[in-house]
Amino acid sequence: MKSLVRWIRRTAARPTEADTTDNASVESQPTVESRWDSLYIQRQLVWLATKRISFRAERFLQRLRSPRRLIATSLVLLFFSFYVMNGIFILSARAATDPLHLRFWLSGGMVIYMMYHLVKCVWSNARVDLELSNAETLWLGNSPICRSSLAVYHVGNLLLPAALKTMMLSILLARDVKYPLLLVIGTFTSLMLLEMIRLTFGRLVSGMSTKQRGWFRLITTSTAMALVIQLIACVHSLTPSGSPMWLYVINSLRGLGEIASTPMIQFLSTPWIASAYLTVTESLQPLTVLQLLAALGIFPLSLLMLVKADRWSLRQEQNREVSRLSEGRYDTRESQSQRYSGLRINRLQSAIEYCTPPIARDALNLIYRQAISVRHYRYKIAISLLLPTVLCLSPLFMGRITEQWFYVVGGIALCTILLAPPALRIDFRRDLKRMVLLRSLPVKPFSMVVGQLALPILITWTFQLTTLTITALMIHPGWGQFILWTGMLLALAVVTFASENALFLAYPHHQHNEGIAMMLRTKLTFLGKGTVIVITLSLLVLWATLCQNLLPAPYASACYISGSITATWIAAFLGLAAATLCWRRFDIAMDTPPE
Amino acid sequence: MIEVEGLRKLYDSYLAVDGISFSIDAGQICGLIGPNGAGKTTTMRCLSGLISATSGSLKVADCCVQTNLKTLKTRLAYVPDDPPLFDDLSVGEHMEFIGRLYRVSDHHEKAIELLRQFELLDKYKAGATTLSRGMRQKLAVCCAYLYSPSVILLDEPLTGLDPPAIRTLLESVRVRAAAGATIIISSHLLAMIAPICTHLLVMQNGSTQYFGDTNTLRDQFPHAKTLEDAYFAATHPDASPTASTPLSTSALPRNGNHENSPTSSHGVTEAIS
Repeated sequence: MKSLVRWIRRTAARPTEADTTDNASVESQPTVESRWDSLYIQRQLVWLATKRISFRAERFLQRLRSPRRLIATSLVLLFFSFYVMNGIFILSARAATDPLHLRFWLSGGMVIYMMYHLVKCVWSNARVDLELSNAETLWLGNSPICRSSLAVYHVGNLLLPAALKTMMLSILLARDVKYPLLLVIGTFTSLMLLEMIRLTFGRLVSGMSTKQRGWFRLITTSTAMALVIQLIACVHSLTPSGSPMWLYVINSLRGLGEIASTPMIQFLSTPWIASAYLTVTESLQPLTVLQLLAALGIFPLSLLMLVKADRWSLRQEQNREVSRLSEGRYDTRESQSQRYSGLRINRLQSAIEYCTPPIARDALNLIYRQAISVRHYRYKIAISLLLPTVLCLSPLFMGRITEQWFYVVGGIALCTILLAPPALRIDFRRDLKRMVLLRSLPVKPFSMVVGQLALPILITWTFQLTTLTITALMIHPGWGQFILWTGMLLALAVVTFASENALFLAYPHHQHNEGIAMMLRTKLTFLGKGTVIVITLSLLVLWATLCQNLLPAPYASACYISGSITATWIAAFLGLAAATLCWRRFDIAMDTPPE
Repeated sequence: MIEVEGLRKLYDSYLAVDGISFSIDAGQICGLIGPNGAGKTTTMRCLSGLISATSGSLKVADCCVQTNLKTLKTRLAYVPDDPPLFDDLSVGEHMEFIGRLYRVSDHHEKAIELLRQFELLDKYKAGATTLSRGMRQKLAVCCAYLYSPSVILLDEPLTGLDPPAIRTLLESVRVRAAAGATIIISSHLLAMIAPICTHLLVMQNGSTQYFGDTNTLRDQFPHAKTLEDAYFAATHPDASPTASTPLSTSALPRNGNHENSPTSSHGVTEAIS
C-alpha cells in the first residue's frame, strides 16, 4: 500500500512534465530509480493494448466472414444462440439457488480452482516470467518501463477474457440473484482476482530454490490430496451404497459445494468474500457500497502483491546465479565437450530401425523424436494419467457387479475422448512454430501423421489396457466383452487423436492462446465430442438389435463383436485419412495464425 | 560509451560469458565477432539490461546497468537477430508506439523519413505478419534509430537484408557513429562490417580472444590479407603470427582486468605463441 501511495505522490508531483521531449539530451541520473512509472507511460501502454485489441477484433470479424471458416462461424453462431436461449427460456425457469450456498460456492469454488492451478504450477518446470510474448519481452522489456508497468499491462490484457467468462457465467447465474449488475461486477472481480493470484503464485514458484519448491510441492500436494479425500468421504456419506453411477456424479458436485463452504476453505477465500457478498446482494444497503469498494479495492492490492512477488522472484534468481558462480557449480563449453565426447550410438534405436520395413522408417524417426519429449515429460504424463485410471476404476468399489464393467468402460471412453487429448499434446499441436521444418522433411503425409500421432495414441492405449485388464481380472466380464471393448476403445483413441489433430490443422491456434475464440473452440469441441459419443452409442444399440434379430444365436454375438470392432477401426482409419488430408492441405502462409 | 569489466553470465549451470572486459568510446564502432555460441548475444543482452549479468561491472551511456537501468534504456537501443514484432500492429503503429514511449518530438515525421530511408514506407499500413525477415530487421532498426540513442547494439543486423539495404544500414551506422553514438555490431559477415569498424572484440567460448582496434589485429597477423583471415588466425587454436609483434596497449582492456586479456593464459597470445 505504501508503494501505491508513493507512486501516486510521485505521479502527482510531476504534472507539468512535457509529454514529448527529445530524450537524447537527457542527463545522467545517478539517483535510485523509481519502481513505478508515470501516468504518461501507463497511457502509452493503454494505447498499445487498445490498438492490439482493435486489430484482433477486426481480424476476428474478418475470419467470421471468411468462406474458409464457414463451418466454424456457423457453429459459433449456433452455439451462442443456443447458450443465450437456454439462459433465457430454460435456466430462468428453474428454482433459484439459496444465496448462502451461492456465496459459499463462489468464494470457496475460487479457492478450489486456485488449488488446482497451484498444484499444476509447482509441478511444472517452466519458468513463468509474467507470461509475456517474445515481442512484448523485446519491445516492452527493452524500453524504459518498470517491471511493475509490465505486470499492470499483462493484467490489463486479462480484462477482456475475464469479461467474456463473466458474461457466460452471468447468463447461468442470472436466475439466482436479485441485482444482475452486481452479479456481473462480483463475478468479474472474482475472476480477475483469481488470475492475479495465479500469476503471483507463478512468479513466487519461479523464484523458489529447488529445496523451497520441494517443500512447497509437498504442502500443496498434501493439501490437494486432503481435499480429494474429503470429497470422497463427502460423496460416500451422501450416497447410499449401491446407488447408480449418475448419483455419485451429482453428489460429487454437491460434495464440492460442501467442501467450498467449510470454515477452512472459507477462511482461505477471504480475498473473494467481498465479491461473493456483492454477487448475492438481496437488498441495497450502505454495506453494499462497502462491499463494492472492497471488491474493487482488492485490485490494486493484488497488483501490488504481484509486483512484489515478481521483484522477489527476480532477486532470488539473481542471488542463486551469483552463489552458483562463486561456488564454481557450473559447466563451461570445455567441460560439456568432454562430457559428450564419449556419447555412444543408441544401439536399440539402430536395431529397431534395421528391423523396420523401409516404408515405416520415416514414421519411426518421427516417433523417436516424440519419444525424447515423452521422456522429458514422463512424470507429468504419468500423473495426468494416474488420476483418470483411479477414477475409471472407482466403480469397482461400489458393489454393483452388473453395472461395474460398463461404468469402467464408459469412464475409459470419456477419459480417452475428453482428458487424453489435452494431457498428451505431443503431436501436431505443439509443433505450430515448427510447421515449416515438418513440411520440409522428405516424409509422405500419411507417414507424417502416423509419426506425429503414434506416441500419444500408444500412451492412451497403455492407460486403456491397464484399466481394462485390472477390471477384467477383478470382475470377469467374459472374453467376449473384453475383446469387444478393448478392440473398440483402442480404435477410439486413434479416432480421438486423429480428429483432434485434423481439427487443429484445419483451424490452428497457438498453444497458450486465450480469448473468446479459444473459449468457443473448447466449448464447441466438447459439444462435438458429446454428440459423437451419443451417436456411437445409438449405432451400437442399433447394430446389437439388428444382429440379435437377424442372425441365429451362435453367430449373433460373434457378428456383433466383429462388426463393432471393424466399424470403429474403419472410423479410425477415416480419422487418420482426414488428418492426412488436413496436413496435406495445411498452408503455412495462410494457416499459421499470428502469435 | 561502454565500459565492461569482468562480465560473467551464468545460464542455469552453464557459463556463457566468462569475464570479458572492454571499453568503447563515443563515436566508435566495435565489431563483435566470434563463432556460434561464443557468447556474443549474451554479452549484448547483458549490456542492454534485458538479462542481468551474474557478476562484473557494466557502465553503458554513463549509466550503471545494474542500478540505472531505466535511464539507460532511454539512451540505448538493442536490435536482436530476427526481431519478434507485435503481430497485431502495423509497421506505422510500431513506429508510433516507440515514438510515444520514448517521447520523441515530431516522431511521425522522423518515422516517415526512416521508413523512406530503409524502403519500408510503402509498408506503413502493412501488418507485421506480412513482413519478410529482412523487412522485420529493417523495421526494428528504424524503431531503434527513431529516438536517437547514444548507444546502439545491433545483433546480426545484416542477416536477411538485401544488398541495397546492407549498404543503407552500414552507411547509417557510420553516420550515427560520426554523430557521437557508440555502436556494437555483431556479425559473421566480416568482409561486410570490416570497413566501418574502428574496433574489434573477438570472442570464443565466452572469453575475449582479442579486443582492440582493427589495425592492431592486422599487425598481429601480417600474413592475413583480410580481416577475415586475421579473425581465423586469432580464433584458431594452432594459429601463430608470422611476426612476433607484441600486442599493442590499445588492444588491452582499459580497466585493468587482464585475466582474460590477450596476454593472459586464455588470450590470443597464448594461442599464437
